[in-house]
Amino acid sequence: MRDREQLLTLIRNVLNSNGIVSIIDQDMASFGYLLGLEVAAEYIESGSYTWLVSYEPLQSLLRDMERLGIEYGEHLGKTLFIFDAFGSMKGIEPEMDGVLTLKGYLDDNVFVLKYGRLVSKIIETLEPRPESAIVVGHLESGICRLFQNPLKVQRRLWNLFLEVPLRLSAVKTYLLPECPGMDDLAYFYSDLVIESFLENDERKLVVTKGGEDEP
Amino acid sequence: MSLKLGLKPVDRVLGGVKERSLILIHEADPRSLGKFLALQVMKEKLESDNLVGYFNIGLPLSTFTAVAERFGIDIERHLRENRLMIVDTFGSLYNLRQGTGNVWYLSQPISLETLNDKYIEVIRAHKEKWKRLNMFEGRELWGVTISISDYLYMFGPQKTQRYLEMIDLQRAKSDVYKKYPAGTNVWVYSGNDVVVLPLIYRKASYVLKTESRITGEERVVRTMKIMKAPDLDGIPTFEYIVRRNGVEFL
Repeated sequence: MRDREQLLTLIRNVLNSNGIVSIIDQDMASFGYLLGLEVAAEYIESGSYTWLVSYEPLQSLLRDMERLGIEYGEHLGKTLFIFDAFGSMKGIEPEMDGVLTLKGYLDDNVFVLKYGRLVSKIIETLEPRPESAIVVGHLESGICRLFQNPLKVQRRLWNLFLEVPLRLSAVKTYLLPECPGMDDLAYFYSDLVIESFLENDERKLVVTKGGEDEP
Repeated sequence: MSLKLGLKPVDRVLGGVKERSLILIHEADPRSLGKFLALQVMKEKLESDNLVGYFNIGLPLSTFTAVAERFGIDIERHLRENRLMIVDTFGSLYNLRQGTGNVWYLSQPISLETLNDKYIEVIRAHKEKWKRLNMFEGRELWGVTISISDYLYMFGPQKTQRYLEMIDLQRAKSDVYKKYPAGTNVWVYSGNDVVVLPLIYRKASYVLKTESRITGEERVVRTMKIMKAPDLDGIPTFEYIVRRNGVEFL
């Protein structure tokens, strides 16, 4: 059994070697996804390039970040970019620098195409061009609420991720009951998977792939 | 004729699997990492210089390739040396085509009604190539599919069921399986459903079911059960660990 600090060290090690970490909440009261934001905070606050994708309403993400005491304001639009997938699909205009959305008609296919173009455009504008970045997929299970064929969109977005001409690491969080089936790809591709669940009124965070037993 | 599957307990208990049979790996939950058993078979067969056709269904091929490479399968080399061919259904359907040799794409438009004919078309073309290169001689032929269950999100359960019901008949009629050697196939199916999965449980000669659980000590235990095999009594169960470069049975 690992404590929170040991888990954070394990996550940092994977991210520092350009790996992928998935945190899967088995129920809505386990709040394992906050661990993802806690890790992201270290990268955001140190000025590392961070691409934070929110499948939740933006205010919900910002509230969580504020509760965790993450000081993101001075980095937003410089080294931190928040892509508001929820706002894009709902036609909500961004009101903050560094928060990006897609405009115009969007469906599953058009979203993936426009998103790919947006990522390329942002990378081109960065001076100096970064060599690496961290991607934070905040509650990717929100994909189920936004798209007609969520598994198709999830997989096409992963394909885009592999095409980006930067050294990327990623931490992705899911509330599984909200979008069953998302763990299929997460388990196949991730270097480290942590599941979060409640047991006898206790919150558990368990490494379920990529721990010490399975190096 | 029996062939080694490359999964030690299966080879030990069953003495291998029958050539040209269908082996279903039923990954009951993704945490059990059943797909890696299929990768293990693929790795063993490629490393021992046999021929493998990999059928990529619902994953971006780049994702599959990255995972397979990390698992120690040198995809690029095996493609280059012609012992591996890939049919990329995902790339064909969503127009994500790579220019790599020995990777085949299906012509558009793609629907489940025409899919099998298109598979047969590329299998024929590649088997002709293998024959021309004299690759069949002294080598086993394997097909690995990850994952049949992806058809469900791509085409829907009812259509997938109809497709699987019809392919046996279509394949029985096709000369490609008579003119050239036919392979031994490993299919992965992830998840549980009552529309498509029972059909494959009946169709397969062998069913290996993978499951996982989290113990009180917060350790993950992964097990493989042999649910079906010719002349098998009982359900032998084996625990395994998925290491970075291979599956290890305990």
